[in-house]
Amino acid sequence: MGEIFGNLWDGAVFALSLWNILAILIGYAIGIIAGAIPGVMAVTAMVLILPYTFTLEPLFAIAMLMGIYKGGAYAGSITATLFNIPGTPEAAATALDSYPMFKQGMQKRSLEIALWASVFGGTVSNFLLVFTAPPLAEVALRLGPSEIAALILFSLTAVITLLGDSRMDIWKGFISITLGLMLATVGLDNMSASRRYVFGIEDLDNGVPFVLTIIALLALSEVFIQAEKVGGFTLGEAASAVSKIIPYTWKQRWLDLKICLKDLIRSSLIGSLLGALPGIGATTAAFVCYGEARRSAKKNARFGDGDPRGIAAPEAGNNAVAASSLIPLVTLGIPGSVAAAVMYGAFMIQGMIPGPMLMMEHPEIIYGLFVLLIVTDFLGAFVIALPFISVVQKIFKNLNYSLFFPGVVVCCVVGVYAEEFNVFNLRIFLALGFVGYIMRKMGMSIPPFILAFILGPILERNTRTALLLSNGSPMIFLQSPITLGLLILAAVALGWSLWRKTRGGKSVLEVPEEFKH
Amino acid sequence: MKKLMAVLTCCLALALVAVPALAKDYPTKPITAYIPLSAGGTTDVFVRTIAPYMEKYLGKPLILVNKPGSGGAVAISTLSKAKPDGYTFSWANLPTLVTIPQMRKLTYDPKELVYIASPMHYDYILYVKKDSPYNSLKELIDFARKNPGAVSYGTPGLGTTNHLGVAWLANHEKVKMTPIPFKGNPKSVAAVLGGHVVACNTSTTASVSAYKGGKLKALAIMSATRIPLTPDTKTLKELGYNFAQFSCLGAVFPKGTPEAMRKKIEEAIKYALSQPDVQQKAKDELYISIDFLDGKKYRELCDQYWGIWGKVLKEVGLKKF
Repeated sequence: MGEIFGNLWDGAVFALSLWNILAILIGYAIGIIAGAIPGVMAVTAMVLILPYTFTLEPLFAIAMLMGIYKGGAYAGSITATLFNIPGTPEAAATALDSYPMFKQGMQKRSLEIALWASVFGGTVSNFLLVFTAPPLAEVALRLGPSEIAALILFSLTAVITLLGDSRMDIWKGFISITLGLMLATVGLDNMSASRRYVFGIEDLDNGVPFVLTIIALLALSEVFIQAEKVGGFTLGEAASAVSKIIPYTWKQRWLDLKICLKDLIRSSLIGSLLGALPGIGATTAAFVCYGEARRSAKKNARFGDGDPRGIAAPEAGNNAVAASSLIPLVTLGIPGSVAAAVMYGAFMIQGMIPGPMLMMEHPEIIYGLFVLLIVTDFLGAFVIALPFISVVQKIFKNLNYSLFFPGVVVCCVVGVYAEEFNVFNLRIFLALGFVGYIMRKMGMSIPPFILAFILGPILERNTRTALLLSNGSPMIFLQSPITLGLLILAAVALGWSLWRKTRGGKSVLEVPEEFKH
Repeated sequence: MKKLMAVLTCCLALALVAVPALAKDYPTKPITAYIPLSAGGTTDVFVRTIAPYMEKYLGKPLILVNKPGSGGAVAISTLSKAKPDGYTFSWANLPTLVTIPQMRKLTYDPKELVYIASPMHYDYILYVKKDSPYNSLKELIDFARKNPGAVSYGTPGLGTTNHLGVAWLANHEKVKMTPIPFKGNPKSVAAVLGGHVVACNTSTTASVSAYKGGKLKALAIMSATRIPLTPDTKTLKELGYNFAQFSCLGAVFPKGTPEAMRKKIEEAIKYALSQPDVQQKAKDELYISIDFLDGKKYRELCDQYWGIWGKVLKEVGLKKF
């Protein structure tokens, strides 16, 4: 432990130069802008900037990328709050409560809860990375295909909480889940290299890209919905919405912290654990944290209608992924996420290969990176994010929606194109946007579709890998205590949430004291 | 009619004069090059390392565009629709040109492309976990012989040369080893480290860190030559097998691109590879083996391995075309 502090000190001395801090701030600003623009991911920005880091100082380049990563991880929630259009997939869960809260005139409150929850989740995860990376990496490695499959199944049960309360809503939710799973099967099947539902279209071999799908279903379909209202939706209405802004007092901040603290801690831990596992990602973490917050809340909670925990939980969760997804990278040299792979590339461009060797030979670089990570969350939040939010709020006051929504579509299209530079993707994007529109019109909830779409392939892959390893015997799912435990938990969670949902029918909302202003 | 003939003759004459002039001045504008992988991987970094020198030689910028997907097929199929005017080429890994076309129907025919040159080949190592009981390839194979199906090995995907290389070995030794496809080399290495599979056949870069950190044991070099990372590990050839797993990175033009332009890019690649700092970076930082093949040799090797890999693909039941 003492050694870690020593290393941290060395890292701080090595890394905390004015230049590197400037790099963080530049990066964070780029990340916020990229993250806030629907369709443009922070990772896209990282990938686009990566080639230019060839000519930069090593730590300057890495600090900048770290800043983009962290800034982007938070910024998706801004447009999610203001327009119900998540800027990044991982903010999709946040929108479920932050948009309703905004509509009630509490935009400052919802934006700030998202920001502080991000800082909280990010910081917890930063410290876990610094102090527990090797054991956490060991745990992550030990989880084999059967354990991961069971864990994913358990995570999928969180989806139940995203469904409505009436029997009809639950049915629609299950249709939505099924559609998501079906869409996820499109493309080359990785386990047998056969083509599934591609209809001979080569561009579909890679499957329907994940980011594109989420942006189409959430952002594009929202624009379509809003476009319908364009006649009646005028500047006057926007102005009237702004006129009843409710200020966010310090007392309210304190109350929110008290309500959310448990969820913040739980979500940060869940997010960190899921982040350390390769390939699961921030969007899943956000939904699982949201689901868990909802599952553990009392019946009178106002989830879906502007509950602060519904913002804090997913934001803390998805930001916790940011640092912990670097755990396999620094301890084993294995990038566990797309962003980690970009960081890997950035190291390689600078002539270093991240991993145990770098940790041994140049601890000051790795610990310098840790120090920068810790600093990024605070510096970024205070110096960049807070002013940015207030500017955005001001712009929003005078916004012309008939110009804004086409702008969103343009951004989405550019972002989707920049992802893979493939025109075909734009067609899928448009088609899926209409699918999302129709689903919404029919009252089907989109988040279960998305969660199923993300988790389906991971579940399939790990289940099949487990079965390959056991030569086809399903006993592999019962032999490991972790797998068995998770499977039982999944079954119990599924049964319990369904029972709880159907038992009360439509529950009467009791507004708890802390929500009254 | 006469007038038309005159115009045609003029055109023809102009064309005759213009073509050599075009080729001589080539390139007169920036050249687009597709990279069939996402940014940040070893190959991507390597391509971006040699690109500035190629630009210096050509006197015009290279626009590098990452077009990942479908084992490189997305990039090549886009390329095959491009104009063969010398201003669009693509980097390609051998499987995109050799194994994938035998596994599934594609919109391009790799044999029609113009093969420019190959700057490097990949090295492959068969690893087991450090504390595993097998200290040599022979011990692993003996164990597999006595316990059919007990040896599983990680690969970065079904039908990759990593998969086919070990499949060849198992077939040759008549033992049963179970290939487990993972999503990329890093995850296949992670599966060995976590003890979920017994062995993995991976490219160098993905394993450098774990190997140097003392977590892996190298049993054999699957490719043709020994490598600096594991200087004492013998190649399959040295172990008595008449086989080497081969895959390389190369550059290709669309069908019908003039030879003069191919030659120019080939020279640019050769020039870039001769730079000392490119060589140093490849060896010390990227763990890549620079190995220049001109267009003819590159083509020959691809043709040769079309047969070799095709045979293994057939044995593992993946050959469809």
